Amino acid sequence: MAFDIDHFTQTSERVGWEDLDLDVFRDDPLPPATLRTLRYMADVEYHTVCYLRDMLVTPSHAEGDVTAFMTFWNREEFWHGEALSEVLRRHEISLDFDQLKAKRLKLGWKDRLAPIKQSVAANLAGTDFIAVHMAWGAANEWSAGTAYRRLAVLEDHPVLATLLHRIAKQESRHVAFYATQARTRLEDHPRAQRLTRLALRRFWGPVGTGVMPESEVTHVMTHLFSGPAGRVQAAHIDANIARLPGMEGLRIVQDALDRRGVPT
Amino acid sequence: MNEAAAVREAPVSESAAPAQTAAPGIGAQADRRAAAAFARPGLPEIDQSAEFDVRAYAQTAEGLRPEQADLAAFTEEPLTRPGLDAVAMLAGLCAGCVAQLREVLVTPSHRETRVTAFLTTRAYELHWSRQTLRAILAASGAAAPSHSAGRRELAPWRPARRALTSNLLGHDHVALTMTTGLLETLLTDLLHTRLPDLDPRLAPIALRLHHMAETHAAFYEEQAHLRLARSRRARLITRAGLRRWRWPGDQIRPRLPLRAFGTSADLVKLHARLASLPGLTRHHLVTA
Ligand SMILES: [Fe+2]
Ligand SMILES: [Fe+2]
Repeated sequence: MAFDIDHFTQTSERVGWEDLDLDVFRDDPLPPATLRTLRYMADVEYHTVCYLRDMLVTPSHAEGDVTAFMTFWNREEFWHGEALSEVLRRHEISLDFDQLKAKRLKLGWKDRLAPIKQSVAANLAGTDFIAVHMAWGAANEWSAGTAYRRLAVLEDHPVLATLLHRIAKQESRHVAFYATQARTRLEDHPRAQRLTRLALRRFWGPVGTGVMPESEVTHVMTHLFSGPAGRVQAAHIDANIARLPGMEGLRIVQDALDRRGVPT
Repeated sequence: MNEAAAVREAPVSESAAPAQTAAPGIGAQADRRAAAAFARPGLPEIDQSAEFDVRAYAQTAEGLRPEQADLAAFTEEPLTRPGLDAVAMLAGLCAGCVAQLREVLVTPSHRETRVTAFLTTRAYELHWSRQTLRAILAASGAAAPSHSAGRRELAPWRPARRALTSNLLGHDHVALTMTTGLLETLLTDLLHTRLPDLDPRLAPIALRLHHMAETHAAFYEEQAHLRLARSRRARLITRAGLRRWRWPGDQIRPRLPLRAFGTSADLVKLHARLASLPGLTRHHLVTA
């Protein structure tokens, strides 16, 4: 299955909510646990630009299609953040540019060093590192899509569900890009497979780990993926990742849940 | 909701630093508080006095699409050399945008959410401008510049070094990024306004490109102004950075000389605009 970058850019739109009656939340507000999860999701979406940076300092940037995808992907994710912010704003929670900045400022030295480490590691490992990035991106996009769909089911609110499904639909297109890229770069490249497997097993964490406080990661994981039904979803993400060449048997999402003591 | 207002003003634990993580919330109130963490007034300053409406810009930015250009006209009667060169150079400059985005993102600017929201949208616009310019070249039977044309030097160590130095220089470094953004936008825009002289059929496209550049310049100019006005260190860093500033990147082909961009009167005007920024009064930037 090839990914058609021209089709992707030509059909890329910012996610819309103008036709949705978000004011219903004023009389019928979402429960606090859901708001907390939405807040997390919005922050992570806005944060995409930082992932974009990590990608751009690696050799993956040296390819035209990748650059075009990144440009549009970054913009779509920004609008996911804006859409979720709109919902939060209807609950008197405002996520303005200034507050997001405060969060990024607090990342401190760890974050400042990140692009340096990335750049050095990436260039040492050469083009195999692109495979890591692509597999990593695929895992993140699978997680994001599943998380939005899962929240839509859990909340069962018609307006929220419609918005979440719109976002999830775009996440599926992101999956298509990353998974296609990962597959081609892993197939018949044992060294890339070893490096990717190692990176995912040792360093991968649910999207937002390291950026968001651990308490928030645990909240979202518990909210979305606890209990038998939640675990089924997590296993589903793992199964997708495990189908990438050389990734058989990985269960990084379920491991992340176990580590945080999320109830099965 | 009264509860919300009360919660937002309460001293919420600043839980972004992983080391001092707040205890996982138990119950609805803790959830609500976590959802609103940081959602408090009184946070930094520059953004709050900025008037440029980034949200409105992001919402209305469309980009100039190839289907909006009369490509058939250029197939019928191709552009001549001067027109081709100018269009090719502009396409190359658009391609440099992502490399520029990368350079910005490894500096403290990436923590500036207003700046990154702007750059995200600008990269999207420039992608379409570039596609359109390439389509015009193709319709005229000229080879479009390759993907790598206009990319800045990609030496692997370079972004790392830049991250190191600019982070040591700290937050004030953003002023330099905004100033060079303004300068490069204004220079590029000179070439936009020359296009109709080279071929009148380029006039509608030139006008669209010019309007876009004006919006970008307005953003950069306001940001540069606010930042330079506030900090002596920002002014020092910016002046030093401008002395090392080179434009365009080595890989831009074709490279038109600066006099192809505009008359010396145009350059004087451009200088005057830059000189109106705090601390740059006596700076001579562009040499033809
Ligand atoms: Fe997203
Ligand atoms: Fe996504």
